Amino acid sequence: MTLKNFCIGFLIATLLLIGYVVEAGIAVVHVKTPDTHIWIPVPVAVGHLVGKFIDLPLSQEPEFETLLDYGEEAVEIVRQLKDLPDSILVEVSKTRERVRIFKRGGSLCIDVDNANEKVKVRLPLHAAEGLLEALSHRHVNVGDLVACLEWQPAGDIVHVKNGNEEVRISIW
Amino acid sequence: MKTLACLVSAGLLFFDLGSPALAQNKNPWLHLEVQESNADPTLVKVNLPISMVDVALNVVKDENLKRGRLKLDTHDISVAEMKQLWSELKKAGNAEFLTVEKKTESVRIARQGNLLLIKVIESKRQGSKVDIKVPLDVVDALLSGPGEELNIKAALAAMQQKGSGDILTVNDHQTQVRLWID
Repeated sequence: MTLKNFCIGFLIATLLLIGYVVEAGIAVVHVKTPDTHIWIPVPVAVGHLVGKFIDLPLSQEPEFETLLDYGEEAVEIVRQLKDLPDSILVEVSKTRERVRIFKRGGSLCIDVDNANEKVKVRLPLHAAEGLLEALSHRHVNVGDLVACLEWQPAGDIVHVKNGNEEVRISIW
Repeated sequence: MKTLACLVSAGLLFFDLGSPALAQNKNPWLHLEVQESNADPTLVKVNLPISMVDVALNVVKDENLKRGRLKLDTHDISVAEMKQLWSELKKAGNAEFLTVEKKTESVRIARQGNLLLIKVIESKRQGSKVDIKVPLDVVDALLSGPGEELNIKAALAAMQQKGSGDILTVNDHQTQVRLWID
């Protein structure tokens, strides 16, 4: 009887854990070159947990200090972006190049399309808020950064295609 | 009861119709469109809420542009001279301040109500046309900086108070620029 209860409890706990991990999202890194084909799925919740033990030595970087200086402005810009309706904020069109920065849904999107490469970035604004919050502390670990991707809508976050090479980071 | 329902419906309709306009007036957008029709035609469009431009100005740390103030890098006219000139011009009320009519170009600087108008037209073939309409409050705010600085942040704040409309249009045979608020 006790063993049966233990097994049921263990099963429920396992199912809940799996549910949480799946619901939190799975980040998939996909790198494709003529020689290699890498496909790495990382459950965001696991990345969050494991990444907590990996500190990033950002505080020694001068660029990080600059970022800290502009933290307030960046937070304010993200806050304002969240309130904006869907719109094209910046668009540059040339014969062979097109750059667009726009807001769609709850994300800030950047599209660059030229003869050599295609870049698509979709930054969910909730993730940007979390990222800025994580970077506002001097001690940043990988887990804090990965945590920004939790509970984000599915889709590509970054997609870069350059000739025969392709990198895609998506959330499932 | 019916009257109350009608009143509530009318109120909701009024609120629905009025709120976007109010929100728009509260935070107008600055639009910039630059079109170059040279060998490599380029179209640049920037649409940003003025409040966001204001925040972004804090991030710019250029030698001449700090804290939203632009240090004027010209020896032709100082900001102090501009302020003096502007205060005299404002006293004049609605008037034509400058009219130059030449074979090749015409220039007109005038005040019309709450607007300062600057119009330059080159009469040669494919000559350029410059049309600037700046609300007086914006010029006041622009010249409110200390020393030799133009107060861009204050000018933006003044623009935020103003209604929508064109601020600058330039029509060159190769370049078209339009700056407006709505």
